[in-house]
Amino acid sequence: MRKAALFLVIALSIAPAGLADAHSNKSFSDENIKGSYGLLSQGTLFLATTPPFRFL
Amino acid sequence: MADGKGHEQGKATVNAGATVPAFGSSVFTTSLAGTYDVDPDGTGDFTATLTPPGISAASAASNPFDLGGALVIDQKDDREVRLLSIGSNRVLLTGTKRQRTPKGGFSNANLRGDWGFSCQGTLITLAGDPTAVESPLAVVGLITADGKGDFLAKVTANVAGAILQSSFSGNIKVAKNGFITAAATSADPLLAHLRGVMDSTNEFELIPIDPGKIISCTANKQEHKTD
Repeated sequence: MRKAALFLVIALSIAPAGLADAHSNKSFSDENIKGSYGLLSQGTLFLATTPPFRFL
Repeated sequence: MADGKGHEQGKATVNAGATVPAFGSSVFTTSLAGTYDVDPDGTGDFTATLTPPGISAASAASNPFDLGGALVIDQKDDREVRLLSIGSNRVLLTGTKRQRTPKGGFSNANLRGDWGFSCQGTLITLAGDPTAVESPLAVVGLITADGKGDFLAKVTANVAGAILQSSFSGNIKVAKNGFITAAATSADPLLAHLRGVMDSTNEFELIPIDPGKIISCTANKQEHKTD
């Protein structure tokens, strides 16, 4: 579980240099996130104790 | 609920596996509020705070659920948003799906039928304060719901290499907003008390709210084809 989360950090932090032409012409804004969403969160909090947890 | 203008609010149920000091419990339901900002390329950032009941967000010192981080929109029709909380005291990945709510809201009838599901997570057994033994767990199973509030479940679980097979029955309710409450009526099932949310009439997500069962489940409706 920890490895999966760390993998996403890497995926988001590597800028797609040289791939600008591959982007679609779509332009996003806050309006693209609107309405009711179901949510599932998983990971680990590093507290005094360090169990994993879930919330939704 | 997101307003399309950078503000979100809602309700969250947490199973933390151990008592979270700011909340005074390991399992709790509380309010969620925050902001988001989407860039033209579909990435962006967000904040989200889960406020302990009866305590203002501002006065909740050292609240571990004062979150923030990066987001990306994916899936067709911008339906799914993935959130990564960036903070030195957590590794937390969140998936969200815009609900496809039937006209009039969700109801028990939306659960009628067979649902294939899988779960993954950790069982935590306290072996003496503060030592805990964590056992990895994965489950596949089938839930059959009658659409009137009762269900049967047949599951196969792998708990740290030990294979368990069981069947159990229970009650399940769906609120108009898609929130699910379920409880097994059989003796000592693996998934005894559950909370969840419906993303659509074909998929829902669940977590147990029993202490020490840090598990997430995703269920999808089986579609039988007849010749």
